[in-house]
Amino acid sequence: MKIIVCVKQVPDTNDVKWSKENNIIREGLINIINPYDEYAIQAALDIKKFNPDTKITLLSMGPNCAKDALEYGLSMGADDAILLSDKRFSGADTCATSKTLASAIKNVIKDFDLIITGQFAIDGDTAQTGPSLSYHLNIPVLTYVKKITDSKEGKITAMCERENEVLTFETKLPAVLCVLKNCAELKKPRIEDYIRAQTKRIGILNLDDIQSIPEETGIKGSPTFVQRAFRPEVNRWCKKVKYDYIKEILLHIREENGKEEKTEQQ
Amino acid sequence: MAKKKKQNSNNQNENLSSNQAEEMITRDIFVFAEIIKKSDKMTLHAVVPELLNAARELADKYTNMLKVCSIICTDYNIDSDFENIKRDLYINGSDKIYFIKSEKIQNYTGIAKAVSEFCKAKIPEIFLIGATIIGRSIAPLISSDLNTGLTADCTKLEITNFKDEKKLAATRPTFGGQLMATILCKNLPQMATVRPSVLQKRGDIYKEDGEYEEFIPNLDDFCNHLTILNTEINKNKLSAELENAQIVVAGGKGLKNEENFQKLIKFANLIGASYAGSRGAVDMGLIGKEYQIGQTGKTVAPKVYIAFGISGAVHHMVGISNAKKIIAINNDENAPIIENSDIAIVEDASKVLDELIEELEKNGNA
Repeated sequence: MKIIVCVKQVPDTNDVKWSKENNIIREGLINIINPYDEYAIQAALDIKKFNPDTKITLLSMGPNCAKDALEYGLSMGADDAILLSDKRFSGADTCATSKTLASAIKNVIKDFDLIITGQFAIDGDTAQTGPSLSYHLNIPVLTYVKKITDSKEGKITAMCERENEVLTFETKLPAVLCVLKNCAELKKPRIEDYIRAQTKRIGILNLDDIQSIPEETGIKGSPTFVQRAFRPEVNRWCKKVKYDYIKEILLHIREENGKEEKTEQQ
Repeated sequence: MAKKKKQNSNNQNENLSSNQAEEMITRDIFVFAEIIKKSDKMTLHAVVPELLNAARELADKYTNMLKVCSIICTDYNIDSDFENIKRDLYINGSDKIYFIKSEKIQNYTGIAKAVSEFCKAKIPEIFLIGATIIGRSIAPLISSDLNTGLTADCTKLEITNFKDEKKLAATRPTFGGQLMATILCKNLPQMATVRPSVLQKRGDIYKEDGEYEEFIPNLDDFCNHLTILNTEINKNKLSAELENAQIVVAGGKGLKNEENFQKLIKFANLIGASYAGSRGAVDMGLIGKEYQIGQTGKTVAPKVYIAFGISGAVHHMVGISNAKKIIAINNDENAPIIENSDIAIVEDASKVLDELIEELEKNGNA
């Protein structure tokens, strides 16, 4: 089986610092592999465990430094990796991104059975690229995958989370699976895995290599654009309570619970 | 064939945005009326009234000629609850209801295809969808098919003037919630998803009745590749419970261990509140992922939110920004949540829990 895992490098958003002018200080920001994508890779590795002739290719789009995320994925055990990197790809929204990834898959990778992606990326949190990619490749998509339960004879079975239900879907391959965290048991790479990964190849491809249409990539190919970006405002009392805090907490709770009783009486 | 259709709608968009702006403003605002199953009854998802109210406000700001249309398209059989659903849609702000029907709609992929075929026929100005599991699964399939933009998880929807045109300005948290971005879309429809509990539904009745039309999409080219092998009830039915709770008590990494987290649950039960956890608590295994509040978890809007040992990283605060009152208990006075709360108590969270439980057990429930 040939599996493509789509990976995104994201800034560690837990650790953002602001300048006096309210701009994000980008220098020194640590980039990590999107945590959901780690699980996507692990899910692929779990399939490989039972089907040893499985080949796992990582695919990412981003600047040159995104190689770090791919190197991490290779250390986890993926076989090879492709980074789509070109100035003409930058500023892409999910619409342009999914078309660019689809071009690389259709025109360069060509042969594949399964695509696994994280359900979300923790920076943008749009959850759109995976389903959009399935549209452009004209293959089925399973979203909010909790667990991949079976894969054989050109079919895959997976449990998907829904509002009040968990549905088990079966679909033919090729297909796109968007996975949640904890869909697999994560095994962090060891030092020897990092060393072994250094011999693995990361192919870097540009717009011409993947025969993409310039008008469909980057800012040009993005129907959405940012009009304004700003720091979220906080408007809270910020009252510090040093003494009698138990009374204070219960006061607010009783205020709320009391209201409810009143409306019930009415 | 499908490709050609897409091209046409694109050209149309361009023409309209240049000199036929007058005609464009008669296009409508669509709201996806997601149907869910709630103990054997089919009903609207709680996000739908919230979207309808937002759509109404947008429509009034665009021009009062714009209609708010609810789009029903579901794989459930809703016959027995249909009249209630219809009435709920009018009451909450719909001028018109479109019911898209086809036997080929068996799951969300069919819904996505049917709705996008409908949009190709009617090209709305704006299309709002709930950022629910189904909403977030179908919205990107629809926007891709319509070759338009989609802004996910918006927290605010407004109308703005952009190059002499009225546009939807959709604001959303990005960068893990550190930054707010206002996003515009060049193409039509301008699509956006909004999470439940972020917007308000209207307080009064809009209409008791309104226009109604059925639509049979052409799904000849659509092939359903998904088979449902099994359906089980999600064991944690707390989703809606948590999102609608009046008081939420949440614990973070600062609670350190299972024992302290049990105290939190006990306290929640004593005061009749729902309980939840931060990403940190979930990562430590103190509570299940389905209880997680924040950007990659749930959004809640309780009257009172009490955070025990939660540092208040921005991705967490995004999930509680609509809470009326935030009470934070954290022994680190530099924790961001202290500044972002209404009542801040700089104390050890588990100690405060002990004291609260003791007080409640001694002097009766809250």
